[in-house]
Amino acid sequence: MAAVEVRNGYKYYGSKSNPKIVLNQLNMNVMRGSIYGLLGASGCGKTTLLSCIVGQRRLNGGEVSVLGVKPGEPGSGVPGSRVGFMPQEIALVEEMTVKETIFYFGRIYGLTDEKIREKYKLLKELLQLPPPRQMIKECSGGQQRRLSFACAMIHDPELLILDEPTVGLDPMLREKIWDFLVETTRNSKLAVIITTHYIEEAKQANCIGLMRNGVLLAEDTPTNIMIKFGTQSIEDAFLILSQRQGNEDELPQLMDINRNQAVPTAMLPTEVIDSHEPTAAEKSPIPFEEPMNENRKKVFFTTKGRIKALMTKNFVQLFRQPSGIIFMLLFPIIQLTCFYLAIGKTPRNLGLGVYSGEVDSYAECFDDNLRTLYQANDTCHFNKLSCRYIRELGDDIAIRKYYDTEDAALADAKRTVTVGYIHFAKNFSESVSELIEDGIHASDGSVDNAELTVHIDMTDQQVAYFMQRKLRDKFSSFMNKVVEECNVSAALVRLPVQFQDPIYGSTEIEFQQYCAPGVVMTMVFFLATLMTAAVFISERMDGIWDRTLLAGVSATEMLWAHLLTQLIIMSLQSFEVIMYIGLVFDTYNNGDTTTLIGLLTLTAFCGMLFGLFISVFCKSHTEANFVATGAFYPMIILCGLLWPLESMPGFLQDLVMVLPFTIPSISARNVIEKGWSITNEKVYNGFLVMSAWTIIFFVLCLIGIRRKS
Amino acid sequence: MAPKKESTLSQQQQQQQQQQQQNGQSNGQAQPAMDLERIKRHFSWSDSSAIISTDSVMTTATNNDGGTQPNSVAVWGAPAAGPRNTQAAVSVRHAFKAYGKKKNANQVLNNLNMTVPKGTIYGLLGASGCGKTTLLSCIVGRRRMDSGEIFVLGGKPGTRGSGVPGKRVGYMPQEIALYGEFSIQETMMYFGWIFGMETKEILERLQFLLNFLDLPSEKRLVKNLSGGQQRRVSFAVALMHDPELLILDEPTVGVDPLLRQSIWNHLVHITKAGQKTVIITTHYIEEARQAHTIGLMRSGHLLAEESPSVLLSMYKCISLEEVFLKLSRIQSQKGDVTHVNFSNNISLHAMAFGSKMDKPSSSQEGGVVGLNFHQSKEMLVNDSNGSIYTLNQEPYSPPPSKRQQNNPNDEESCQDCFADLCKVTSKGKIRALLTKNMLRMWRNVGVMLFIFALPVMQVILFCLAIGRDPQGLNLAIVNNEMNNTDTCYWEDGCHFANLGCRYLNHLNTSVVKTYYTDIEDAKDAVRRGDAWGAVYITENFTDAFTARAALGRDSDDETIEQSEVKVWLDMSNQQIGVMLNRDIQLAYRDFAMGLLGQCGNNPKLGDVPIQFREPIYGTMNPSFTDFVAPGVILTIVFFLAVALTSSALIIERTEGLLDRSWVAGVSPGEILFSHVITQFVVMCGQTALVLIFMLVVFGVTNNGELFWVIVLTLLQGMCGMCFGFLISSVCELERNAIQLALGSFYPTLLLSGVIWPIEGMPVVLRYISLCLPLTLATSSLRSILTRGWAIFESDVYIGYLSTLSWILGFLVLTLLVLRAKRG
Repeated sequence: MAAVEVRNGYKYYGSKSNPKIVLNQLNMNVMRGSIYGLLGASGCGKTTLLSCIVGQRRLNGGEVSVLGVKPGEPGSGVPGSRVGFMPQEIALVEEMTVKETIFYFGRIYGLTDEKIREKYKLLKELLQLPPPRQMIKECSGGQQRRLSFACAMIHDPELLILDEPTVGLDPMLREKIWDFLVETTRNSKLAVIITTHYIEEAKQANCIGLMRNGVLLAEDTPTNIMIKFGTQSIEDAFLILSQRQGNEDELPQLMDINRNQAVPTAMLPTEVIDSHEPTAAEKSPIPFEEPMNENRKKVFFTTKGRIKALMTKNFVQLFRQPSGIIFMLLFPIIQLTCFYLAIGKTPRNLGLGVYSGEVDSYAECFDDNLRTLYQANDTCHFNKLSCRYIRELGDDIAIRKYYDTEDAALADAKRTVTVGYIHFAKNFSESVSELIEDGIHASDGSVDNAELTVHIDMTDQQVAYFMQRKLRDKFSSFMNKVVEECNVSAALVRLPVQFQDPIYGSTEIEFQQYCAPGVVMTMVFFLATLMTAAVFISERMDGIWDRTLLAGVSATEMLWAHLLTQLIIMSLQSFEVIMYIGLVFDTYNNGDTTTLIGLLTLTAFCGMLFGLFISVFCKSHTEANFVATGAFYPMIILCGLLWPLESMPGFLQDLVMVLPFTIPSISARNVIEKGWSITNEKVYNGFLVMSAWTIIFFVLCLIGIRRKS
Repeated sequence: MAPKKESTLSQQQQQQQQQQQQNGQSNGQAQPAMDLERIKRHFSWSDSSAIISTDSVMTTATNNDGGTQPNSVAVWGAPAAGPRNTQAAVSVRHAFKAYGKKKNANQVLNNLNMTVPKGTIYGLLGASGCGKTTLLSCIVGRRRMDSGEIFVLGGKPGTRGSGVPGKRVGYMPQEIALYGEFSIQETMMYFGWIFGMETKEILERLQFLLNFLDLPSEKRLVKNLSGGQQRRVSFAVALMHDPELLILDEPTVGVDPLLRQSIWNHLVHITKAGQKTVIITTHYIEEARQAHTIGLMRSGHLLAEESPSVLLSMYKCISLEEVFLKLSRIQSQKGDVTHVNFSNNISLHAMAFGSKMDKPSSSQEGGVVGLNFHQSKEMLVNDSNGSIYTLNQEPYSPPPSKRQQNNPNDEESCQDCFADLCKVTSKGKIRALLTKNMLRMWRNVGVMLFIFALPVMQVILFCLAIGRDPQGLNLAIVNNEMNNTDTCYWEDGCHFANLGCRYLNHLNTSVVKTYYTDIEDAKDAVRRGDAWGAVYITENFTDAFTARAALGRDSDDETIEQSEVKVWLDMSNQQIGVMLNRDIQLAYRDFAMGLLGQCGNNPKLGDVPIQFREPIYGTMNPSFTDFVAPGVILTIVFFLAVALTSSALIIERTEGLLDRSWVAGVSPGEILFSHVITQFVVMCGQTALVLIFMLVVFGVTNNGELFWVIVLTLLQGMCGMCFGFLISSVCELERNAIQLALGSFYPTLLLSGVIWPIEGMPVVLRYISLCLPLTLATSSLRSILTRGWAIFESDVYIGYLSTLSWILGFLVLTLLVLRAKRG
């Protein structure tokens, strides 16, 4: 019975109108219990043919049947436990040990641990596998290849496909592999398809197919081929065949000609082979029914084992990469530290120039005996009132620097030694006194002179505003005290705008408190993104992806396994971030901490899915990184994290509301500052937006991954 | 005893060799262990004419031994008479090379000797991982051996004037190692220019190669070609300049049989004239039958070096495959080794090379060999088949003090690299490299977008989203003077009626007023988050206000209370809270001053008695944008340069084109230089875009000289570029490089005082911050833009100085890292 049958296999890549034909009306027969050598140059369609056989790709036309079923059908076990596949590249996880690798594949195929151990012992002897604890990356090329071979054999498949197993191998090892294959096929029903471009080694195969430009030029036993073409070696036979085909190489009508030419040559030997073993074909249906059912059962019952295998792999992969762990754990801490220390604190150690026209020596001002206020009758007299303000000012806001002339103060301010300077007029005290006495009727001159004049360097907006606010606050408290001592109503000097206690927050609120929720959320989001953006890409590049798919694991299963793994890591990371913020920087929170943690975790989860989304759709690491970075910058600028949304142009405001951070960071601020609970619309909004994005990313991931596989 | 003696001996040998190399033909007879033959060999190594003679003897001897050449017995020192055996194109002696740490070294080349006669095809066969590629890279001077000697075309590879790497060799690496985005013609132009060919010459040659190798139109991009075609292009590149020595690393892997045959035919054809030499590696053993000599390599040394027919007859096999298998088996079996060794020695070295001499004496040999065996087994624990390591090698242990020995060599090579740096490179090379860099960028849409669209987008988004005053803030207002009507009417001029409305009118600019009747409702609106603040004006605000103004100090508390506007703010959003606070105060000021002015009083009476006069620098109404803009400009330019440079160099390395260009004689300095130029051009474009958008389109203030702004921005770009160089020299993988670049971005941005003044940092951090590359430059640029300072202000030029010193620092570090990696 044929293990593999391909009839009129036709496959092209590219668009329908401009197809690049890879398989061209190809026919192929592989018998059970035999070795089939598939020979041909690279790019001739070998790998495509194999991937169609294992159900990884679909033919555009023609039929394939593998072990009596169509590959890719549910429950067929193809791809799955009935076939073993050894890809050309090593396609093993470098960070895993030999034993872990064997167990990984064993579990994926649904073997029990006991059985894996048994089988491992057997294969270890046979293939001289390296010690079980050795890491794959520490194994030599030959050892890796043997291990890869062992992984393809671990589950006793009915069909074994080896894609260039002997390329670049030591001759001794090559011989050993061939001996083993010949031995096994002789004693069992195992069918082996082996591709190679060492044509000579295929002499040991029971049947060889010579492939070129998507067509099987010949399919027969090696000796038959040599006899047929009267050559000493298969090599020469191939050369003759190629020459015969050769001239039509580039022609567009290639297809038609080849069909006429290739099909006969291919059909002939096929018939020969069929006639060789008619008995096998007849008796096979009954004994092969059973293992098939068994396999079906396996498929249904071992999801747990598979998930276990996949997750073990993911974790091992992650934890054996020290740089990854350092990045994962240290990076958030560094970033948070930088942020909390550097951004949004009140500026300190600023210099402020002071020049008072009415003071001769500033030491006077700090003389405790100085009386600035004399009260006589109903009037207040002031003396060197400016000293009182200077003292009140203190060094908290800025370090005072005293000048004897205004020019000197100005010069220092120009050189930015100080942020600016304050200037009291020569008759400041008298003017203030007059203003209090005469009120609205005070002379213009005294109104002018009673003012404190300030010149500030306004280039640094934050510093300038801070100085302005502080000077104003200090001045009004100073004036209040003065009039109080004079027993005059404070109304005279107070601005008739009274700021009551704020409803939320405090008057001393810092910029940091404003932007912290947004910064922490973006940080958590993008850390998760960076962590996951690479997973599928690395996997695809290593080839472990294809290999696992061929073991019958669906892409969705792999997605879930990654999701679970990353979920655990991500919760660790979020926990770390939250603990760090809460304990080290001791940020206050007026609301419910669990709500915040919930929101952060959701953010991280969303970031993780975004990462997966990137890794599903991007082909290379570079691309993934560019996408992640490209998404990161606009998001940070646009989500109202550094600056209030209200300052954006209207259309932009509507646009940014849709972004994943905008509303959630408002929610977080509402919880922290206003202490709102999750039942409030403006808090659960954030959760809703985040969940919506999570779902969108997840669905896109699923779609992408379905399409890819 | 024995090993010690052995090692001292070899040390002496080494010293001796060096002495002799340095001193020319000087003494050697002082060494007791030396005999005539060795001295001769040393002599021959020290002058080139002797090489010819030695090697010719070797090759004739080889051929003689195999019986393929009619030329009979070679005489020591006599010039050979064979038509193609006049000289060895490549000769390798006692090559040792290990990868990895000293302790756990992976010995790749192990006392390897190899001789490639001129004008022949030499097939180097062996499994992958046996050291073939390493050997080839040593031959072309790409890598250095730990010890041993290599002569290529009469010179040592890597030395000046040897032409290797350079024009005299053609190299086709195993991978395709071509830029996918180039067309065939561009690829050929690139290499042609590197080899210093004229454009016309290149085109002629291109036409020939296209026909010869049956390539499609020269306009096709390499990435659109099929695998076989790509390989042919790769081959064409190696043939491009008609080199004397052609090195092909697995040219026929996976190639169509017809093409394979035509490649071989061509190789046979070009070697026929006797001037060209070909080294070809393959693990496809049978095809090597057509080679003149084949070397079978396994675990770091040659099992045999013979002509194919001799090997076949010697081991009585039909195929070379079998010969190799047999030899491998023999190598694995200790017992037979001596025999093979013996036969090999005879066949390979004949009388010309004193292999006998390398073994001190047969009695000692046993011990020495035994020890060697153990050592090498340790070294090769990881070896593929776990086979017992060979005794085939001559017991020539690697020199114990590699470091010492290499020191003079290192210095020498360093002088070379300095010389390389100083040497003016050829115009063609630079032209080729620049064209390549530009083309690659041009063809890569993603990169182009990243280069030019990203900065523009960042600037636009930044200017739109950051730093403006918030608009449309909701204020809940309760004005009891309105008596529950919706209209708020007031008269201009000195009328004391509906003053509440008059005040509220001044609040127009940024707020949206929503009127409530009850103050509790208004506060609830704030609590619910519907409004940012509540403003309350009492029902007799006007009267109380008038009374307060008239009575002055005598007004009673109730009047004062009633005349006040009460405000409750939501301060949970710092920026908005502070801004509203300011606006409400300013509105009052405007209101009071207007009223007083119109009533003929001094308007200043209504002002806050603290007067902010015209600022020293900047405007009365500074914008956050102006503050952040300088930092943003520099950060964008800096980090884009980092991202581009770091990935450009690593991509170059991983794509394999670097190796190829290297062999073509391009020095790393030249490649670096070409990247600097390309990056600089790109940077100029970016700087222009960023500055135009910032200063012209969005009108960020610039009071200083534009020239110095541009200079500083470019300098920062250079600084980023140097940082990119550092990253790319540290990181092997592009992935890591990008992670590092991204990882460094965020902390730098936060710590450089871009978003928030560094005065807000803790003192210690402030000093750290000052040490970062962006901090001083940012404040310097800020001074130029907003204060309009000139270059000679200390705050300005310190930014330039710090940038320059960072550039220098990064460059020095890069050189150090590269040095460390090479050593």
